[in-house]
Amino acid sequence: MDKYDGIVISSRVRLARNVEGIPFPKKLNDERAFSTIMKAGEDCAKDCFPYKFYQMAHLSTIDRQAIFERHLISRELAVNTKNGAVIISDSEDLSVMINEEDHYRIQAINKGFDLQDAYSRASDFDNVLAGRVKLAYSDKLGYLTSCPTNLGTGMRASVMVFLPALTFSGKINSIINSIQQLSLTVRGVYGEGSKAEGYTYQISNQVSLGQTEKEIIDNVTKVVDVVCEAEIEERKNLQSIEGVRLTDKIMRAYGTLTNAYVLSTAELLECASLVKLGMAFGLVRFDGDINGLIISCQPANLIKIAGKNLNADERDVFRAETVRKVLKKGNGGNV
Amino acid sequence: MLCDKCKKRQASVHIKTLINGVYVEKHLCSECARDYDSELDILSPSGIVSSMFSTIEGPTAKRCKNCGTTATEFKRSGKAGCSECYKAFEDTILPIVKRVQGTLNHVGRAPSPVVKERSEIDQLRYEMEEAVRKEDYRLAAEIRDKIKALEGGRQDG
Repeated sequence: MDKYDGIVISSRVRLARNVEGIPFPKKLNDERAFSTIMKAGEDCAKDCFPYKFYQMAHLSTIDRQAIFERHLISRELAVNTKNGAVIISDSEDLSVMINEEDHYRIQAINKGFDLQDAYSRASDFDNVLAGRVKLAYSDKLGYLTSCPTNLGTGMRASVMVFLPALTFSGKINSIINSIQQLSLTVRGVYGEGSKAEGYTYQISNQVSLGQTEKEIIDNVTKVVDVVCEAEIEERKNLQSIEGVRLTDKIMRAYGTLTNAYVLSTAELLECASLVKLGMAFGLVRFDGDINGLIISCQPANLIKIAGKNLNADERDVFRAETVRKVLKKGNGGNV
Repeated sequence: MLCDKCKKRQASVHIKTLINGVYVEKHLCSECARDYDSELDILSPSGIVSSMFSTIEGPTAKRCKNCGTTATEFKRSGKAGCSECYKAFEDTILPIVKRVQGTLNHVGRAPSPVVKERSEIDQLRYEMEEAVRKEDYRLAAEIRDKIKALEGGRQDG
């Protein structure tokens, strides 16, 4: 069990890479160049791991949305049906977005608090890619990217954290402020511009130039460490101040998830967040992957599970049914 | 407080963004804020860059020979058109990079190419897929037979 189980949800490292001389995706209109980029990417995947390759143009809106909900592609790539593509490793722990803002965005993810692991896997792919294409790189500015905010290492190291206690107490605001002073950023679950739904935040480096990859990883790790300790402390405070009222709130949320027959995404997220807190407090036992359950119950993923198109009302019913079943199966229970 | 833009009406829209530990503030009246929609985009990283460009005087007639991006286009979008743009607009872009990133010195790693060696069978399978992709089915069939022979040989041995 990890030290910050119940707080850290996942760690992710993204490397932005481009081929020297070929215009960046937004400026590229040459079909041949597109296929060169795609083919080189896929060739690397062949050398690295079992994978699936999807061109956005060949996927339905639901399929694209489902991959986005699973954090494997960005919203921008999901709508790029002109030349967007993605390579997804079969274990879904690595994906390479092709022709997003840059030619390649290699991202590796794990479910623990281990940025180094994510970096080394992204890096392995990067090295193979460098063996197949001439990457755009200058000694002074590092890897050359479409947006100057990604120059240098081209790296963004981010950790997704679940911070209900700091959110309830309002202390999260001053924490976000201090984090920003350290040239780090705090975003919502689905990246730039998204809300911190489900008391979940992504902490990542803002600056990508002038620091080594190791320094970036160490900085983010150090800050996340401090934030997690603050959350642990705040959870203790919350328990001692709110006491039985908090327990009541958590168990009512659990009651909703195990008994409801109609469940919206928002209600699921709210209740599941409280249940997660209840699991951390030892009030609720659930051996399954609750974060995975939340993702499976997002609209497009739910439709995929149902195997047929469902409208919003039908989804709410099917979502409630899915959650009831999964919680029952995962030995969920009132401890 | 008066609007930063028209200097006439009261400012009602306040935009504050943090760049490398330094807050940049803008105070606009609702009308100027509406007219300057793009400035509200300051909240996104590319918006930060493009809003910085608007405050910097630079040569506007420059064009990247590789991708055709002009300096004006670059200023508007805050994005480079290709890797060569960084040379073509060096004078304009470096001060921006300095402000966004705080430095101009890359200290991270350089590309370290790795060429993976494939086994003979893997290489043949790869060539077969390529042949299929190119719809050269005769070649694909030939390669398939070679693979079969190799696999057969392996099983017999």
